[in-house]
Amino acid sequence: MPFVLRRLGFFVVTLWAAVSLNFVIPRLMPGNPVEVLEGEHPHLDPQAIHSLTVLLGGSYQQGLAAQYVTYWQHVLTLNFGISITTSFGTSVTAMVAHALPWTIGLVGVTTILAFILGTLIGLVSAWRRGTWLDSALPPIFVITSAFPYFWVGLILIYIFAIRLGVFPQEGAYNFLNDTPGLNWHYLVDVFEHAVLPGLTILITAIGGWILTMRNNVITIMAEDYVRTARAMGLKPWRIMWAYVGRNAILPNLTGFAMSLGFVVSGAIVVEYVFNYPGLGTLLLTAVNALDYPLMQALFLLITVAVLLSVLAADVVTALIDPRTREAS
Amino acid sequence: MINGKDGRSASGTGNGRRPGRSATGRPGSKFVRALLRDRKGTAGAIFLLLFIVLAVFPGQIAPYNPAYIGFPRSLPPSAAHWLGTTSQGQDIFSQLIWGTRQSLLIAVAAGGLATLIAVLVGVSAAYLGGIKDGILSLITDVLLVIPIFPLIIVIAAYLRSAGLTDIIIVLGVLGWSYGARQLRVQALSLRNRDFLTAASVRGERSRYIIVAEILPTMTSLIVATFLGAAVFAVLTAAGLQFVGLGDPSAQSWGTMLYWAQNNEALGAGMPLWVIMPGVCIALLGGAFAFLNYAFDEISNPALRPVRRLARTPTVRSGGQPAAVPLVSDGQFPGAASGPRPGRLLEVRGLSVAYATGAAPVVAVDNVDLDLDEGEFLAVVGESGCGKSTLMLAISQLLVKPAGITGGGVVFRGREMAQMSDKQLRHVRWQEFSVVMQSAMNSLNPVMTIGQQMADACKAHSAMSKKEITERSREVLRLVSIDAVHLGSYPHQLSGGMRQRCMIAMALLFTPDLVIMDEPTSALDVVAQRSLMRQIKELQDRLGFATIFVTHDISLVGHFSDRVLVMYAGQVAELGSTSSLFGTPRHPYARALLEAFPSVRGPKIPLTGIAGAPPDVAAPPPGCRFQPRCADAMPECSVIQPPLYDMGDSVVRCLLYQDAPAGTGTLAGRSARVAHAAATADGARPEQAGVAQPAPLLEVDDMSRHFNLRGFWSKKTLHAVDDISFAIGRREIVALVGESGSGKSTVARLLTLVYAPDSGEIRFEGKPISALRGRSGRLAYRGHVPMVFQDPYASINPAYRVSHGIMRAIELHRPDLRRPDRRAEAIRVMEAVGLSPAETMLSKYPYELSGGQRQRIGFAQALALRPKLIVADEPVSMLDVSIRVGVLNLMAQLRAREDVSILYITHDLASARYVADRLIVMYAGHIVEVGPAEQVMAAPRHPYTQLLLSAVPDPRAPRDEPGPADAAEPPKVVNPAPGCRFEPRCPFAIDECRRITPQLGEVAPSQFAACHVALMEARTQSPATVAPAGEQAPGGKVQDR
Repeated sequence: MPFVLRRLGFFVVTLWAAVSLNFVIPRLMPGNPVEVLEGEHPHLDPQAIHSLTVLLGGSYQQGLAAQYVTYWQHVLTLNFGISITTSFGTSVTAMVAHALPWTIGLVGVTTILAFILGTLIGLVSAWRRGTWLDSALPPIFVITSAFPYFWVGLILIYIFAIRLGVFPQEGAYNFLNDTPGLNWHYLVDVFEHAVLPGLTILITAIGGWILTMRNNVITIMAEDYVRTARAMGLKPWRIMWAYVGRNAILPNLTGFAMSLGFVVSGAIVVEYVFNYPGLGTLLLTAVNALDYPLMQALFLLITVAVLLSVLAADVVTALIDPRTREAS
Repeated sequence: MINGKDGRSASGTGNGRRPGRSATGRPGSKFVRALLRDRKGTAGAIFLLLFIVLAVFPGQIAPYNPAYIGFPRSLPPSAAHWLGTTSQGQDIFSQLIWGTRQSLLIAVAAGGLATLIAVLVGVSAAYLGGIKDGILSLITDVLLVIPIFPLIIVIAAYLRSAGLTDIIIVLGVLGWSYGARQLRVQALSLRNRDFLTAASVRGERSRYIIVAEILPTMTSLIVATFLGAAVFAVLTAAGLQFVGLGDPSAQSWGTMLYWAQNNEALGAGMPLWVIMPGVCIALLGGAFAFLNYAFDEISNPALRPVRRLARTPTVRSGGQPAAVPLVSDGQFPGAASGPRPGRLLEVRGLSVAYATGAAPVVAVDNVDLDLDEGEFLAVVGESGCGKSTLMLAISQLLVKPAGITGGGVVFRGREMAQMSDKQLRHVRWQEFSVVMQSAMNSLNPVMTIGQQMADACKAHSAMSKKEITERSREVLRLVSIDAVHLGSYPHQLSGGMRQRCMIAMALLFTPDLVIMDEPTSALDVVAQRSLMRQIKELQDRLGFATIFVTHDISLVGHFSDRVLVMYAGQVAELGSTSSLFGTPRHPYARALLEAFPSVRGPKIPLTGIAGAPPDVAAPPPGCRFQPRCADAMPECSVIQPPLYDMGDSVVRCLLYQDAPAGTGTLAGRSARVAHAAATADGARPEQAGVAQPAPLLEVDDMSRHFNLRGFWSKKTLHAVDDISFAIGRREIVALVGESGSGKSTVARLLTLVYAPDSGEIRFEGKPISALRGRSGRLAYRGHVPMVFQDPYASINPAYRVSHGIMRAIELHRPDLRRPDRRAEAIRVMEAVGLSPAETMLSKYPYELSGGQRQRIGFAQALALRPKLIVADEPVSMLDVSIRVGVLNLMAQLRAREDVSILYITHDLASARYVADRLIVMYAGHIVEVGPAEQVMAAPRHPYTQLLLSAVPDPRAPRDEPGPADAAEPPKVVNPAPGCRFEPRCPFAIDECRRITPQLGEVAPSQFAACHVALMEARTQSPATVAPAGEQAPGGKVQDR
């Protein structure tokens, strides 16, 4: 399928761009980057220096092009060195692997949930145009989609954790009481801890999907083929689903793919607010501690995650829309 | 933080979706008024103003210095400190006020920077196209996908101190990608709009076109992009400051939140420290988002809130009392007296209005009609007459803001308005079905034909899967479509095939009534004729009644039983076809029938109908046709005429108020024709004399190919191949062909839009390839301007009418000094019949009708003092009654302004009416050339014969059998040698498949590219080359 091939090509190009960015940014600083970094962390031992060298793509004595190649070698073998400040000595890969499941669980699940729910609500809202539901919803969601993610988290903490005490204030589970594993107590605790951060992401992200889907649906409902469907006497549910829904969701899927970068950004700060042990908190901690190897690995990983989701959205679009499959 | 879609253009589909129809009009005061009418827009604007005030005058409003740390710490709200104090002893309220400045600054500066880059990248990518577009788009997409916030974090970590300027620059440089993508989409859709081609044909530079022609029409999207970028900037900046990457000593909302979080404000009982900055961020972001939202609704009319339409017993305009119909209920012309058992449909007093603007706009006014089983009723009218609305009303398919405001529709004895939705659905498709106008968009693009047919079957019956497939194949067979297309998607089929699929679908349950709304309009002449025949044949076979809506009255003359002529929402005349075509009574009906130039018989000068249909929002008092009626009496402008029964027809015209039923009191057509001939004033298309010895323009063996984008194989579209012709002075040459013939490419080759791949164009003896640089080409452009097909797309809607004309004069008439330029503009306006010229020049295009806009196209061309005007289908998008006016204008221009015209068209009849010579093209080749009259009387090439036979002639006594050809012209991709018409040619011989025929003389000054025709001409046996119309259906006797 030429379409999928083109998208894979795009994937490769973007990945190349992200890796190259990672390579270029340290070199934006004047002087020898390794020396500058050593200056900031004067108590580093040789292992750390080695890690930094890995980070920067080989010894600075090599030419730029050779460093670039070495850097790529490291990336492809998932050799990101060790953390130099956050958790000194731990391999970056291990730290990332530890945090990854939490992020996928929280951010991944809630983002997809927000998209699906938002799309459905937008569809129903536009279908029932002119009712109170449709007049009230858009203004509300315009405002909610302008809330900063982290602020919503803070408010939820204030209401539910501090004042009402219903949900925990931070963390992914209770370190003291639980033993991680497949036991009921642990799973319940994980769920309780995930409610507030998940709700934060859900509340802020859903507004955008509802609005776009609603507008798409309204535009599509004015199309000729919807009128044909009504003229054919099809049941309203069938029209809403197969004629309106399938066509209206296409631009939404594209929009989903394009805005994933934004969603991930918001999720990062939500994790930070809730001290949730995912990639976001790790990234911010690394930034504040100037742990360069960890920071750059996380950036790459987040980029790859977004790219994969974009690719997935494109594949789904191609499945639904026959015109895309043959697009030249 | 950046949320899902936060204030960005919520429509998601870009503004390029419906070009032309939902035009934004011009920017400026009209827009601002619309914005203020929208509640959301007003709310957004108010909040924004509030914040601006706070940002500009923080010192005057905030009670204290925000950085002062001398107050008691962690105070709760009090009179002295409205929001309390921070852990460091600063007044929260003052900090909030002062924070507005930074946030607004970031929003505007970063948003502005991002928008600027987005406009540059997006518009350039769309305009430049090709590789450059590919690269720019790739950069845009990559930047879009890379998560911005982590990237900024990484950058900020290296930069260390992210001051305000740094943040603005970083946000601006990273945040443009979303806007660029949307702008590119819209610019691409604009790029193909004729007014941009018109500007470049006029000789404008690319820079000028981008800045002065493209950008003004994209204003609304640019503003929307800015608003979205502003929200993005505010939220991202707040997030950066919150996590501590900003300057901690800055006065901003994000920094407030940073300190609040660091001091555990929530847990320490200082919630306001956290809540208020967030609320402010949300309000500012929300203000931008509301404005953005209001923007979307203004530019996409479909999104506007809908109002309910009150149902009133009678809705009349002009304050006249309801007209008393003189036709008693149940009795209608063309039907026997008394209600018949076969009565299918009864429409009484049906009125439809649209609830837009201040007062409802009446689209259909008090229409009565009847339909019996098996009857073919044609509904004819021009744009805006309400015929499509009438069909939607009858089929109960109207959606808000339209609604039935009076009268009723009775189908088989049941009042449709009283049916429940469920009952109505049950009746649909089984008892009556609808074929929509232009099947281009009438089929669901994501479902196959078979799936949609199955949907219809499942909705109304319990047929098994096998039975459904069987039935689907059967109906496809009825319309001669291969059953394999059940698995095709709509976009894989050609226009004609989609149309026939829709007809097949409509016949799935062999309903009693099939309503067809302009089913053949989008097709070429030959395909149109054959589809009409097929429809009639199906009707005879299956016995359904049909209401056939069309704007082309000549099409239905041989097929319909009765005809309803509509004008301005009312019934003008309704009667049997024979009575309407034989003795049309209503002046409009008469004028309509006479507005068609004929392909056979004597050439009659036509006058068309002056003026334009009335504005439905403000119809004239009295008779609606009166302003344009040549037979108007004084009382016609005051009294609204009722319907008078004349026996075989009813007519809404005061001329018949005293006439007893069954008589037509006005002069028949022959007298009228004589009258017109006697008073023809330059309207008679003059025969040109012998063409001047030195031709004005010569084309020698010109070719133009286009490379189709294929990854694996190289496909070349041969649009134009080795054509040669010449145009003389003061001559009108018609270039006739169907879609795909290459005629539009010829127009663009002659006006330097494309360069020929081979061959030569010589203007006044000098080859075009020798033109030197920009000034050379500009000089040529001054001699050979172009008039475009679409009067709505070829004039920039953002400027007044005078803009295009004055630009043309500035570029091409250096001989005129400034004061004389305006006078020249007035002169050309008068020359094309647009007066008063001064008033017309200062109007905006949306205020003018299609015919008037087309005349402006000619005015723009005339302002150059051209030698040759290339008119690319100038009348095909105009209403029939207005077409003749523009055709007559062309003849007048030729006579008065000493200019030649290349008239490109698909319509043989109009070509015959106005042209001296005729060139017929097929699939990129010229197949026949000669004097217009001679070629029409005796066409030699089989394709010309086919084309001629396909043109409907309402004056012919009956429908001629003619060829059963239903094929569409081919797309010539990688062609083989040989005649391109050969696959469809009834006379083809072996040679035709091998050798490409060249033009050869077949009659004095008549040339045809056909082996058979040339052979016969050489053997001089003209008896076997019979003129069209007398040709036996099987074609000539011929050895194969």
